[in-house]
Amino acid sequence: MKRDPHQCSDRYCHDLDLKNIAAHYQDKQALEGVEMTLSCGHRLAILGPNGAGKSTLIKMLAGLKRPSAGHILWRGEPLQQWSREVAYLPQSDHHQENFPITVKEVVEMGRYPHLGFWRRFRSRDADQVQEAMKIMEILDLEHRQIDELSGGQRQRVFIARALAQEAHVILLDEPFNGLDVESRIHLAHTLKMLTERGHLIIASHHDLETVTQLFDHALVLDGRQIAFGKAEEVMKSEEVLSLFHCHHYETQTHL
Amino acid sequence: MTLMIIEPFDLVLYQRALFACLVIGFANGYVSAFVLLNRSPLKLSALSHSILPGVAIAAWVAGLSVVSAFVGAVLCAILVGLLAIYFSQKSKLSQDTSLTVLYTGAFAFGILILNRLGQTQELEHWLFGNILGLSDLDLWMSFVVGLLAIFLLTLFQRPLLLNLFDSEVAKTLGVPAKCLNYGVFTILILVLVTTLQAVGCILAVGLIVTPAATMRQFTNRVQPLFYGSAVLGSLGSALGLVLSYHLNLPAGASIVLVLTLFFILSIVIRGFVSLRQP
Repeated sequence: MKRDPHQCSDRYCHDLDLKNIAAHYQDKQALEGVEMTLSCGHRLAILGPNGAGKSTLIKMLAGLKRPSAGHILWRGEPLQQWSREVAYLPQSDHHQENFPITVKEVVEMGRYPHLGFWRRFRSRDADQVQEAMKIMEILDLEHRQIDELSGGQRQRVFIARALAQEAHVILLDEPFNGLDVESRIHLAHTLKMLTERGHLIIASHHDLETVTQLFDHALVLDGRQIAFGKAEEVMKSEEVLSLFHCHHYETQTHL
Repeated sequence: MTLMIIEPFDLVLYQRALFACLVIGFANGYVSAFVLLNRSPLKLSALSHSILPGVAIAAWVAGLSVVSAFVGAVLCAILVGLLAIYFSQKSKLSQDTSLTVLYTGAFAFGILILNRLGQTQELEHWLFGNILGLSDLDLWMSFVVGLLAIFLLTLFQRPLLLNLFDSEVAKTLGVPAKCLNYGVFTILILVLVTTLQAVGCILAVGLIVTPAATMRQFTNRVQPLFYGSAVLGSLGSALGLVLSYHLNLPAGASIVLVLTLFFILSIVIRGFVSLRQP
């Protein structure tokens, strides 16, 4: 039977290992001691107060920043060797505004790691793009300009780009930010569907009340790793409760 | 009527100028699409001013000739452009800030040197251009540089567009963003310098920005933007040249003015079409 390239079966399922990761900005330490292992088919929320290192960790996983210590392994090898299997989705308004580009052209960008500078777009590439748009239910939007879409629709387009890339790990930076209720529900279903297909979803997130509904695992940071594990257990742990209670209190008193 | 319009092209001088207009206009128009997507017209304006010390130093060291001025201008513009990128990477300043500091300093330095050398007459050619006075070498340089710029920007269009659309995502997809930025900067400077001799360093910016700004009013697609802007740049330059002959106006200013009129017309048409749409 022909394998669905977007589906991670057991054979194609791999572990992401973070071994004692640390990060610095010039001389200042931003993050230390991050240790975790997670396989495909899960949704991980990265939580923490502002400046806790959430974005830094996402950028390291995306290959935009090198860890100053430790290793990030995928399939047991350094992650940078498998960079095409990791897709990064910044916030939906991160791209250049008013760029003359259609939805289909954005999804086609996901084929870049397979095509490089000048290799021709082949029928396999076109099939991957078509399949990715079909999965994300955006075929009817393919000729629309990206800036004509709502935030929720744009998220679906960028996820389709990740699928066209044939990425196993999908990294999202605050994906629920700025979405209306309907788009949030739609995105939650999409992330669940992607994990059922075998993708590993990792997202920075700040809404503590929705963590257990949206994610099955959680990693809590505050310049270092505070907790990691199943979302329900992590959100009940005393260290996490005390961290967020403390920050909540600080925010309120500052206001 | 037609004969009267093409009357100037009986003269070899105007035949050469027409060739220059078509070539320089096409290359600049094509590159202008990239400048528009890169949102860098102000940077180009800065660079066009920063070539002056290159010309001045070339005149000082080797005497003012086309080749020495060209080499001096290219080297100086590349130096200022690359230093601006380097300074912004190594400091807390934006690229625009470091470029502005460097180009105003460079322009002032160029004026000082040329005044010392007593070359103010030649200086005017670099400031306002002289498309009727281009030599064979100038024409060849424009042709080769234009062809090279179009070839390279077409060849690397896929990573370039990805980098322009979202540079962080482009990096994660394996696009060598830094190399592309340096490469594109060099191409833009080369095109700019070949344009300077035709319309001068102040008006050159109009030629390398306006065609795409006009074309953008009529298209939402990248390919028509690139090729439409090239055709528009070419036609606008030729029309400007013809008008300059019949109205007895300076050619460089006429060319840029025609392109500006095209732009204003495109905004009016766009506004009119928007009003008629339900």
